[in-house]
Amino acid sequence: MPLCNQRMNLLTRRSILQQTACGFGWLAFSALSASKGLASPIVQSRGDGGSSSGSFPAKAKRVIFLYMRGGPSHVDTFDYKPELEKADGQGGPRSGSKWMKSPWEFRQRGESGLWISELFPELSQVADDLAIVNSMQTDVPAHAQATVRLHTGTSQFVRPSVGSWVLYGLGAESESIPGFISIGPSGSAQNYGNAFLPANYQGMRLGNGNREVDETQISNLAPLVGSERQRRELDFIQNLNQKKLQTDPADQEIEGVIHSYEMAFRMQSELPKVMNIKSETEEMQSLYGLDRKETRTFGSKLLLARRMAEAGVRFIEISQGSWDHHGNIQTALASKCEAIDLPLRGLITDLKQRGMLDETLIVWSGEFGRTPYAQGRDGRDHNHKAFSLWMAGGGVKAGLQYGRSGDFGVEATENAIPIVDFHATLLALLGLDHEQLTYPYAGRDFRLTDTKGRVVTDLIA
Amino acid sequence: MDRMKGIQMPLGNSVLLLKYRRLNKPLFSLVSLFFVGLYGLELFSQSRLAHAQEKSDKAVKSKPLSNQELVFFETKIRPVLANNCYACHSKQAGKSEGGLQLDTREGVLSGGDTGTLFVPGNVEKSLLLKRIGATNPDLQMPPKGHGKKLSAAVLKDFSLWIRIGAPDPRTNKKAGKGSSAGGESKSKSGKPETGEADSGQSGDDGAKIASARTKESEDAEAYRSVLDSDWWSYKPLVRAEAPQAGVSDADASSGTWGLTAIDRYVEAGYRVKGISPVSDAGPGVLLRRLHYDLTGLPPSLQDLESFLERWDSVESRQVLIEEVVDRLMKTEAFAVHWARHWLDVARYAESTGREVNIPYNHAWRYRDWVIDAFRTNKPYDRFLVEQIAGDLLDESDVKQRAKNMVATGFLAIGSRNINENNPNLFATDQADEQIDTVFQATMGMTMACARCHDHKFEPITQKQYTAVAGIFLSTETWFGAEGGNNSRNFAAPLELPNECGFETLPVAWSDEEIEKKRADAKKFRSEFEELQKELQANRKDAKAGGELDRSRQQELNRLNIKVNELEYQLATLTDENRAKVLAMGVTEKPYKAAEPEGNKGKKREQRAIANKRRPVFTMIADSPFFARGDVEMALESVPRGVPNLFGNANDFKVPQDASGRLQLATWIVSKENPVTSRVAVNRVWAWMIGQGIVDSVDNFGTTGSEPTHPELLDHLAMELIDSGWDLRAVIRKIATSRVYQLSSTEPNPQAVVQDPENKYCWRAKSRRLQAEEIRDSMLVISDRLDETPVLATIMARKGERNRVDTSPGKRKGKGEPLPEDRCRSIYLPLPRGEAPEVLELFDLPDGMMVQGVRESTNVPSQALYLLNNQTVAGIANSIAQNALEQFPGRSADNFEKRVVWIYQKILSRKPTGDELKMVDQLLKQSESSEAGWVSLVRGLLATAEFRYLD
Repeated sequence: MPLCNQRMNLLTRRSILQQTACGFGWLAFSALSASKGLASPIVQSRGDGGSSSGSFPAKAKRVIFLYMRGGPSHVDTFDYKPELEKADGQGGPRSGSKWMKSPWEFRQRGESGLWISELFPELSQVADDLAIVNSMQTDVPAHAQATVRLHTGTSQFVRPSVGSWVLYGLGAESESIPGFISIGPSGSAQNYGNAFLPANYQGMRLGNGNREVDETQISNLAPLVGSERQRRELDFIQNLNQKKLQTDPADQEIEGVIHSYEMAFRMQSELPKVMNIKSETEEMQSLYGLDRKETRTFGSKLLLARRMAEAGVRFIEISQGSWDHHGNIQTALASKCEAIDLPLRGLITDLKQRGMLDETLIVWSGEFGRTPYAQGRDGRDHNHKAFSLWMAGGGVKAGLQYGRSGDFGVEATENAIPIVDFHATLLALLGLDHEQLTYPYAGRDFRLTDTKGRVVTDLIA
Repeated sequence: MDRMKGIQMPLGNSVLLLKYRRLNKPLFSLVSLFFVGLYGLELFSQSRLAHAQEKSDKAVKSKPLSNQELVFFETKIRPVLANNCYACHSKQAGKSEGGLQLDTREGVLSGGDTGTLFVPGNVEKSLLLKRIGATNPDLQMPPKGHGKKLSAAVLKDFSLWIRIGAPDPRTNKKAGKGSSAGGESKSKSGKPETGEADSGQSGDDGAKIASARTKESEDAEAYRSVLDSDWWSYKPLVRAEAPQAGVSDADASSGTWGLTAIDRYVEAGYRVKGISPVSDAGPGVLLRRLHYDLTGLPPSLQDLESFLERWDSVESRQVLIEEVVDRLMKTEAFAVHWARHWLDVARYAESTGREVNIPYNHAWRYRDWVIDAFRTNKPYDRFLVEQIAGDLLDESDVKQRAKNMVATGFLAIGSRNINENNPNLFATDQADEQIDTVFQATMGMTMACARCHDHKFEPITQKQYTAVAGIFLSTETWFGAEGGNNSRNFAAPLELPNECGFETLPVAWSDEEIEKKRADAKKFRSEFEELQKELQANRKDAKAGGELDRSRQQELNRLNIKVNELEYQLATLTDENRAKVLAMGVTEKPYKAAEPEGNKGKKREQRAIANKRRPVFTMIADSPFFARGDVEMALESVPRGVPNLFGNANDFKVPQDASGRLQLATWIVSKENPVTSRVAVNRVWAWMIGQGIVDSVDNFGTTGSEPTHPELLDHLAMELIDSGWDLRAVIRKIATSRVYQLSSTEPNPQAVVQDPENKYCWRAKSRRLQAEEIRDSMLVISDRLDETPVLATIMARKGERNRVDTSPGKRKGKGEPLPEDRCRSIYLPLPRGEAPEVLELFDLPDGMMVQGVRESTNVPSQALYLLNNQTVAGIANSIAQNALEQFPGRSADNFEKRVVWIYQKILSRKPTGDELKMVDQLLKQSESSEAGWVSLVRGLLATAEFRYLD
């Protein structure tokens, strides 16, 4: 397998600090004070467009973003290609390439008849809750760039991640647990970075890609000293931090430190409760596949995500690695899918039972797709011109299969959705207008969607 | 969710979607990818437009194209013409249907039988646009049956191209053959590749790919050789006179601001931007900055006192600063701190990483070599050459030679997928990782992107990549780690001669234990082999219809692991049960003069590569060109060699019997290569100033940033070379410049507007301390730091297990430092993905690739560490104890002395009156005096001020 996977980190070197340490551009924001960082300039921009013709009733209050790192093959999972089956073994679009049909059978699922491959027998049971998009597109077939683009809208500049924008737009729901948590990320910190947004919108990393998530992931959670003494120490620290901030009121880093202490203090009591997935009933645990070796890791992350959602986390991202199947796709993809299939159904079922599905937007996506033609004998190469994602809950039009990637899955041909439109749509589902959600920096108002973005209304219920 | 009540929800869902309106702006999304500035093209197209309309014929004349124009043509226009039009309209194809030829600029401009295709700059009446955009099948180009209709995006590209005056680099010569400069064209002229590549592979896919490939490559090479001369980082260094002094033009005559040559370049930048710098930092801040930037440690109380004292009395503060800098650069701490910088670049870590994480128990020798290089101020050119080809340097002294071998550990310490079951893929992956590291570390080039295709953004073809890959595939890498499953990819360590006298770890076992291990190894080995035979027989049976006994496969695996571990351990011992001197590193593969085999041999080789089981890269040999980077699609070999970026490739011809590493290494530091020195000084600048002159320190290519102060960069690069590659001299120059001494906190409202990101250094950049600095400082402040170099690492010393232990409990004392570990953090064990908590929390690089600039996150888990961690508590306790012992008793005088002492130790400054009151209050509220002092210390360690270096 080429080492392109390693190059996931290509962009990490542009340190976020480097970009923001001198972020005086947000002078308008200088009134900002300690833990009141949430007072935000968007309030100002809200005045502009009070008339809301064509606005969407927002349903989603939070996002669970399931990021499949490496680029899952769309033509083997959610994008049915009967033509590809027929052309199997024949010459493909690149010189010397050969079409490779999916080794897995596709069938129509649920009442809505969505095409899903046999790799997802469990998820298929809740097909009617899904909106599958088969016409996603991104710019570059390189992991690092495409990943950062999926997460921030651009791989050229250091910009805030979607999660940071969402948290900034919606505000924190809880004071005692961060509003944006990224479970098991790897690669650039930009993917959960706040860039020029105030530091309290940065995602908190929980664990790394290699390890399972359990309570041990956040060490030092147990206070060493009594709470009174700790509060005293904290007040002392924060006093000094405030003084430091006064010498340079625009220093976001200091602001970030101040916020991190307040959050840390409250997390000590709240986070262990949230992380304790063992307190769930056995029935619940098996709904998420915790009783099976294959599904335990991903299942426990999803169960944790649900508990975080309940606790008020606005944006929960779960990274699941190793979808970069340049070779050995027959075995590797099957086992990747098996690991997530049952837990995914579990999450959707569980949220539904709790009446939370409507207000929780679930997104499942990689950074790009794979080629419908073979690489080697048993692999597929990167493909940025077409990939699939699906959403569920949170006001999406369920039971929908949207867009087309031609007969073979090479390139989005109908209703192509570039990342920027996906971002605009995601914000819309949360009731945020991507053109209004701005932040002043370096002399202009920045948006997640920059100067573009189109809300794909077809995807909204 | 009652939890939500009373909590701020300033925006909530109330920021409703207001209005959604379709954007009419043109989308340049794909195009913009190629430009550093998002609006670059738009702007440039507008200015070109004005120009073009003014005098449209002028734009047609041959004139050098800008880089943007060139990239645009090569990525957007030429491929479309070549793939969709040349078949009927080109000299190349010998066809000019409709009297039109599109493979030369002249052809495009003169048009065909139906008329001119367009007037450059004028989109309105373009025949070309009409035809390629036509929906009428009679007019449509390409015509039905000759290709697909061109997409709207392509139409847009062509329209833009015409609008900006149709920049076109092609000459009258045949497309794709023309302007290539240097060594590449030589190899081409010997043998016209198109066509001939087909022989010997008749009819199969390979031939098709080969010819397509070659054509593509040639096209690409032609344009890239132009491109590389145009991109700034490949241009020769320019020795320009230092600009005049003066922050502003008015100030130019007095010119009192600058202290050094560096400052004059920075001043020139101020003048261009119309900004002035802030005032200097105070002496305490400056001293703290110097100490951390040079040694990674805070100044001691004595250092601070004497500096402050002399600051006020000394005749020349500049001399004082120079004294401090010189003194610090001679310390062991300096060597350690700067070695750590290089270890970031060298992606240093102590295990394979990836799916199966196996420790590298000898990586530390390379670590120590790097420290020693900074200790002795090894010239930077030599520093690089030894790391890439130390084993190939002439050296008669045994010890020196052994050191040179250790330096090549640089190539061996990378991460690798040890479980890869195709040995040839494993070999090419390893070579790729080495190429990636070497080129990025030394030249800021993302060379490895050209493994599967010509580089999309750099002047590097896949063929050039293959020429370099041959160098590394001819190199044996001794990474010294047990293999993965079924001992796959097991590699021995590099064995150094005992006479070199390097210290080794004591043998962990008694003679009796060793004898038992030897016996066990023998026993298990024979059991393993026996079982293997049985299972093989069983498999044969099963094929013939018998039953396959799966249960015993597990047994075989277990035996295999046992045998592996024992044999690996025993391999570290001499026959006399003494420890061998082992390291990681590389050597040349054996060389065997090629037999004239002709095509038969080639075919055999290709078959062998396709056969997963048999390793083929066993000798010094050229690498085959792998179609799309696929190791199973080997085409003709490409001679080993360095990329001809600077016209001097012929001086570095690789001898038949050598890998070519020595040639590569000397080419990297050759005088014609302007990139290496630029990258080096830029790294130093970034480590000292906080941001590179080129922001993207590891990427000097077209996707990276351009320098803010190009003349300064070249000045420093030249100084580096002129000084005999004396890196320390560059550090000294920066440390003693005025721009280094600026305040980092003073506001500068005017400059903020002009240069919000402070690219022009109108004030210093405050930075978060690095992970190691945070831990080491706490140890220094508590008088616990032991600066003695540590032999190996805790993990290597206890490294009996064959996997990096990841269970938190077991990691104590192995990966995780214990409270009693007092060494500098550079000596802590660094298995990939399992680095010590304190380092990982504060953004230690993961060692997966070159990383010249650290990230800096700011998250609650860091706060929790400082508040609740036992080790931190122990340190706080010890500092508080020391303070109490220094100034015992309850007198008010001693109270204040204690506070001052603690403040100076931790923050290098005295407390203010306000702060004394705060401390007093904190202590009064505390349950006991002792607890109060510990709270104070922990509190100060936890402040932003401690963690951020002003």
